[in-house]
Amino acid sequence: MAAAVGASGAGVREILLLERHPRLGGILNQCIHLGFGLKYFKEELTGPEYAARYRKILRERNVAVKLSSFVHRVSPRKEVAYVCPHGEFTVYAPSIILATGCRERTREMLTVPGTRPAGIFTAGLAQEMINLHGVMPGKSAVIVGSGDIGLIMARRMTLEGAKVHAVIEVMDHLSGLLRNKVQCLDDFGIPLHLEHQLLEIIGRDRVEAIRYRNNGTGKEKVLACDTVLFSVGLIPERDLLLEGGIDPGNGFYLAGNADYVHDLVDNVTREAEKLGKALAVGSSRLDHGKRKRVI
Amino acid sequence: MESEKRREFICIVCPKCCVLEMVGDEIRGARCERGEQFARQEAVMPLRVVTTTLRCETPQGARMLPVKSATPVPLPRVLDMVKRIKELRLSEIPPLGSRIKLDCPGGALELIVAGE
Repeated sequence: MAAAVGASGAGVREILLLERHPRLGGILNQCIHLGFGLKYFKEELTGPEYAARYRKILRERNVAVKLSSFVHRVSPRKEVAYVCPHGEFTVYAPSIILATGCRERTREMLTVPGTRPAGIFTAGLAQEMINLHGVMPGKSAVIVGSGDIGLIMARRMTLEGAKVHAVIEVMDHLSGLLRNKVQCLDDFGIPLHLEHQLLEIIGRDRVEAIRYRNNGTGKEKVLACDTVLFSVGLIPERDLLLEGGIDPGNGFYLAGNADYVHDLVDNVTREAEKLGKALAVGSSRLDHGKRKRVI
Repeated sequence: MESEKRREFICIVCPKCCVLEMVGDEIRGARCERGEQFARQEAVMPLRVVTTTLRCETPQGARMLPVKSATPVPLPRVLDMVKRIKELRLSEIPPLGSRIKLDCPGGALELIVAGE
């Protein structure tokens, strides 16, 4: 959205914004907690509020938006193929910005021994389940990793009536923001175990327990729970470029968390607006009959 | 000799996460006015804005609607309030920014619709 707004403000006439979901805003829509917008809007907003405000800014610009439109291929010749409820289409654009965000690192990427029962989720998936679909992932949880989403979910699960036993973190320091430890863990008496490593997930059909170790003392413990949430890092989503054999540059750009992981959405917005603007300056020197920007 | 009471808080007002030190009536480490206020309030009674969702059952289907409390509420009341909000059912989706009043254990609560 911000890249489109930046480009539009700088005079790019034809901009197409492709979004796979039925509404704009991405992950903001499921981040119902406060903490967004202090820098950009000078006000503390929830994620959905931030998204709604920015959608309003976008609506005032000359940007074509296609929702429920899933881009499945980008070619080195700058063709963008997408499917939407009306069928499959291909558009050409001299500049293509990927604002595809991140994926969460999963349990499989950590090679955690044990069984593969139900009850193992990434923190962001649990967030989507609770906040968008109103479905609880479990009743008795352990959070592995102390990323911001994990901390936020420790509180969210607690508010929704689950018991969160602990957040365990293999490093010797918190990986999320300190304010999130205070307001998500300390406020509800949820312990944070630093230098503790998950060794095994135990359970046949459903998670029954985890085994973990205090790496400081070497002592191992088994903790009964029915849910394990992983908050162990985010990976920029660039599969469209990878599959197309494309390197960023030469008309292909990355915006937001697809570029690198940001702490604050306010910074994502600012940077993407700047990128959009910069592309407008660059492309005005080119003489393209049709100028489209696909995101 | 009487030593003054010393307390430490991590400011949650913004992502800077200042470490605030309160000695008697004096606050050190705050990089803004709001941080100072936060420490004073935190020493007496921590206040938090409640954010949660409530269920809207519309003819088009059920949806979760994000809401936040209109004002910060005492931390010890937060869990009960969320429980109360969970019981609430709306039959339509009110517009962003509209207000919902409800009775809660320990007093009335005003919610602001924080999503669309």
